[in-house]
Amino acid sequence: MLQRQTVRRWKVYFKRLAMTKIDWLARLLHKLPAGNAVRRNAGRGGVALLLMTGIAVAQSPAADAPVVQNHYVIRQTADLGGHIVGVSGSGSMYDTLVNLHSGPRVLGQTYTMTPVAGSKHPLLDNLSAMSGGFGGDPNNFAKLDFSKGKLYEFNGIFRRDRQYFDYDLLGNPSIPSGLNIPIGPSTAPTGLLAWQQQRQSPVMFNTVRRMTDTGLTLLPLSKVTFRVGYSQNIFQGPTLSPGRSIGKYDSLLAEYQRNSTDDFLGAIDWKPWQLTRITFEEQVDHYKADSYFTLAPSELTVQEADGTPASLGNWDIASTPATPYPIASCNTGSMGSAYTNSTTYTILSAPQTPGGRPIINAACDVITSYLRSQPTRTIYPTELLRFQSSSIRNIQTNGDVRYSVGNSTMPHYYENFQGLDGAIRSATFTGSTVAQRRMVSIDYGLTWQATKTIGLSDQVNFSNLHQPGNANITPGITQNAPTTAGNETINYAGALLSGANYTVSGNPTGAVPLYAYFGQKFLTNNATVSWEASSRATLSLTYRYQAHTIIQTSGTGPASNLIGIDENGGILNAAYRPTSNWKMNGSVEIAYADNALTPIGARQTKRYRFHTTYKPRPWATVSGSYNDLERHNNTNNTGTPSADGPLGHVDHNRNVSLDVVLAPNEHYSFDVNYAYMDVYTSTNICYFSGASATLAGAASGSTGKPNLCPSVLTDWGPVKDFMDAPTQYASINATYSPNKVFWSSMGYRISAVSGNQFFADAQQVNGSLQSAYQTPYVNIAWTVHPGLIWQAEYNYYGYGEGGPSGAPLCSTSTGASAVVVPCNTTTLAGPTGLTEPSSGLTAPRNFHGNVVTLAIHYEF
Amino acid sequence: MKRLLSCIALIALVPRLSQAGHLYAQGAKKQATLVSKPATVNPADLVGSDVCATCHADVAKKFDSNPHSKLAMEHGGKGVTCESCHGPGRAHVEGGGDVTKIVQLSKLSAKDASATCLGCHAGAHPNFERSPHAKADVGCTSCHSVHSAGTEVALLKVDQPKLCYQCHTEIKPQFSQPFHHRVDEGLVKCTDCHDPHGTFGANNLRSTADQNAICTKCHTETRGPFVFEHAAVKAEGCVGCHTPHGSQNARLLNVPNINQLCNQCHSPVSGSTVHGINAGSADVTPCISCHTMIHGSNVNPAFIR
Repeated sequence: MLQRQTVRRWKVYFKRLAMTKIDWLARLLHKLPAGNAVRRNAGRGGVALLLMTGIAVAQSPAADAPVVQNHYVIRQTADLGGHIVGVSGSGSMYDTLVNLHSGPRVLGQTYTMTPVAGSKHPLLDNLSAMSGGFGGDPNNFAKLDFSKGKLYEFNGIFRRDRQYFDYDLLGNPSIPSGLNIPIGPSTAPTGLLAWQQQRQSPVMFNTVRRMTDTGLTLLPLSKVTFRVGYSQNIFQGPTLSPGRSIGKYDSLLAEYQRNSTDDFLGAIDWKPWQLTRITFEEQVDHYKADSYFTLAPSELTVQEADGTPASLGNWDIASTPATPYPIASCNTGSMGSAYTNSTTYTILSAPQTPGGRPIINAACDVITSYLRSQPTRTIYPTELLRFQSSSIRNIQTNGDVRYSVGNSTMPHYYENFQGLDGAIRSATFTGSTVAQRRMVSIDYGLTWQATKTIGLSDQVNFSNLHQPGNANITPGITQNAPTTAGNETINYAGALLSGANYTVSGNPTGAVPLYAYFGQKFLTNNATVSWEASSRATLSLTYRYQAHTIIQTSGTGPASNLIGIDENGGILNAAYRPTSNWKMNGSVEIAYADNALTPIGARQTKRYRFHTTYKPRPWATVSGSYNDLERHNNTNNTGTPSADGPLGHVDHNRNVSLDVVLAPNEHYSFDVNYAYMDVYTSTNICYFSGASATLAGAASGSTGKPNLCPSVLTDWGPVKDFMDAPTQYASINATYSPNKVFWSSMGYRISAVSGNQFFADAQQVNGSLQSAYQTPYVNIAWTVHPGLIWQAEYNYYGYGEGGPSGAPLCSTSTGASAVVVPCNTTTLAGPTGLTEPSSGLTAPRNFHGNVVTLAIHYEF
Repeated sequence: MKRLLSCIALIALVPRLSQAGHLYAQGAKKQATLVSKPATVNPADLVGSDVCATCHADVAKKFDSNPHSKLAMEHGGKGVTCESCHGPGRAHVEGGGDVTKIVQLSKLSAKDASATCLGCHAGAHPNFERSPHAKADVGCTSCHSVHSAGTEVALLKVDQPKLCYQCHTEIKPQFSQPFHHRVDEGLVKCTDCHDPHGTFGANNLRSTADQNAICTKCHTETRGPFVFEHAAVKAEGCVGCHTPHGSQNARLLNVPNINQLCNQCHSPVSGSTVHGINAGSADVTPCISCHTMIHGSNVNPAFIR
């Protein structure tokens, strides 16, 4: 009997899971009560485990007879298996979106202790532990909870997220293909060094985040309750990062990150009266950042004569210089016999060994070493006083006061470049920085049930942030070679000379501290009146007022920017139940602000929401929703003649969705979803120039130069720069369970976007706006024996970009009233005149991943 | 001074006012501290959970695993039992199980059912009555089931995120887009960022203790404070540039082209219109090729270091 109930329960459970295709990790995190002996997550496994199934059957676990020890019922489960994965197409994209790989896994494990009915234990009433994903999956977790009645409750969770992000550039790197640097004499090269294209994402991530959260509550049901907690968050791993002004040029850097937080919590809850609680909480967060930057290994493409690897820089240059690494990058007066004249010279010599790095002339600019270290420590103590009371009849009130002072220090900033930049052989920055974040916030809410059907409520939020800081960074101290002929080289052996300070954009040239200040104040009030019109209908109307003040002082000067934004808005909420099995609710929100910090900060906001759920039968549910957010900012520009006109910022996000769930009996269920999302944003924008002239498909103006604005500036525009991303989503799932030992499901999900955007740059990656991401799947679970379930799962992951990169739409003119037309329109003239081939400039990114997961679920 | 005296008088009144509620509840059977719903109850009308179990055996057999009642079961019936929520049962029993003489939460409006739960849980969910869910007539029993929960986590009817998707069908597709927070995968829960019981913020959003955006709890490197803040990050919030649930754009950006994103603010069009932005560069080289520390920097006002 118990077995029959158990089987029925796990079938219902799997059915619920399958309806949304929730991953196995989520299944474990929200497991059913252990006492139900649910066969959950009979997940996945390897071929070896498939073969082992027969052995396991012979061992026949006795799931129906739980282990009882010391008056505890102990139940354990293990999900052992693995993945078999095959990927074609872009492995980088697969890892970015999926990142499941072949190999054995401990897919899940649970352990529970519950007391035998009627028994009492001095230390422990319940214990639950579970984990999953270990052995190589990108997401892992471990969870532990235990408690003792009125004495204490403990809960802890560990989560690990391995992130690989390489939304690779494929055929669309910043450096166009076919560019080479001659090896040997420029007039008679003996070889060519291809100017390396960066085909990885310049912001590639290969990182892992480990999050631990623990909490202990003492005397949870007493008048005075104590809480302590500890959380840790570690983020580490290598990433790529572009670097500006690394020596003479820009360079791609490798960043090795290790950022972590340790958060400590102590709190006392005091319940002085019934339905009243006062809480004092102290939270101390400590942040440690120990990142450092060096040259990305891929940058070291040449070497000095002594074998020192070196980088030429300019990893992303596209338009200038017209030739990769020109002779202008060398101190020609120190090149010796390698320089004859501006057309006859030798920058690179042949490598000493075949396949080795070419040898660069010692008088040419290179980066041989770069290190930036900026260890930062921040401590944020926060005091919080919170109260809540509903002791007064028909009145519910609560609020909190918080005070936080966060101090961030970077006592030892260090940046050092070595190589050659003209005469500069090294440049070093040192210094220290301090920043503080002072925050006071007060929240208060009051709800008064004035009559049986009328309720009034008010909520006030106030916060005041002050954030002063200063950076005392030295200007770059340089060590130079003499600027005399023959000596401006990287291997000049004499004493180096102090040179002029080296500067980075934005930093001061003198050794003065840079002060900065940011402040922000919010005051928000929401006043609401609610009316319970009938037992089936409620209405509420909210008037919202918000005052937002922002002040920022930048650089060294006293100049500051202060703006105030006053917003007034109204929100009408309505909920109605036409019948006991049909519910609907919706809201209309309209707000107007008299100012904005940025163009994307809306001056006018409208939001419409509607949700409905209809259950015509107990086994049938139809749900639908509509959500529309519309935001405008039509502030007028009056200060830049060439770009006069309205900002014309418009964005909207409109969603409509429908979900039908049918589960007529325990043998079948169906779930069908459809959603349409219309995401659009548009702003009048100027560009400095148009598409790069050095890339295929470059646009050119009537003068033959890259797209130029006809205005007094060299800007292009304003034009209506926009993105339109209409996205369709559909999913279908069906489950089938003909008997008590077999269960299966299959489904399909697709998210497809067919959008476009304005063409601003031939390098831009647009493929994601013409893409489809689909994931069909099949699950089978077979109860081989009570307590032993074999499951197989097949998932297909397909991502395809239906079109090439590069936006398809161009502007017919440079005015604010420009008409947007397809870029390949022959009549297109003026600053666009795009000649992009129909095949596009880049290959679309796509991949196909087949993931087979086999597992056995074992209960003991 | 007057203001100060008024405040002191108000504070002094609070205990007095609270006594009204306390007196109101005096008739209730003395139970655990948290179990103190202010309602006038005659102890003689209570029958005890053992009597309930004689007819409702299917419910009673789960008492030892139900967080509401298991403590009571372990301590001689002291604590939350049937009549804590369903009211006195004597009339119901004496009426031969007359369903009109017992409180059936499933028959109550969402508001009334929630009021029953908040009789004990208001301390944990003090904002609920002002929350968007309450205004939408979504009550406690819309998501929680005391007797037949689908999960042991907070007695939810179904686990997250499916529970949330049942109404928020427009959110579900967002987590199926190529780039998304790993909610369906189980790494992140809806409740990591939102508190469905209401907060003082918009959209039921949580915040960190120091009132930073909740995003910085995990994305700690963006929390600051930085000497040089990117004002828009703090003032517009993370959603000024990112779409947190899911996006077809890498890094969950609002638009696929980083330059379009930056130039929405940093182009001459907005140079004299919007405060502190100036003309910007309006260039086409990817902005983050130079401005890598775009969330804020301690070293460089232009976010280059």
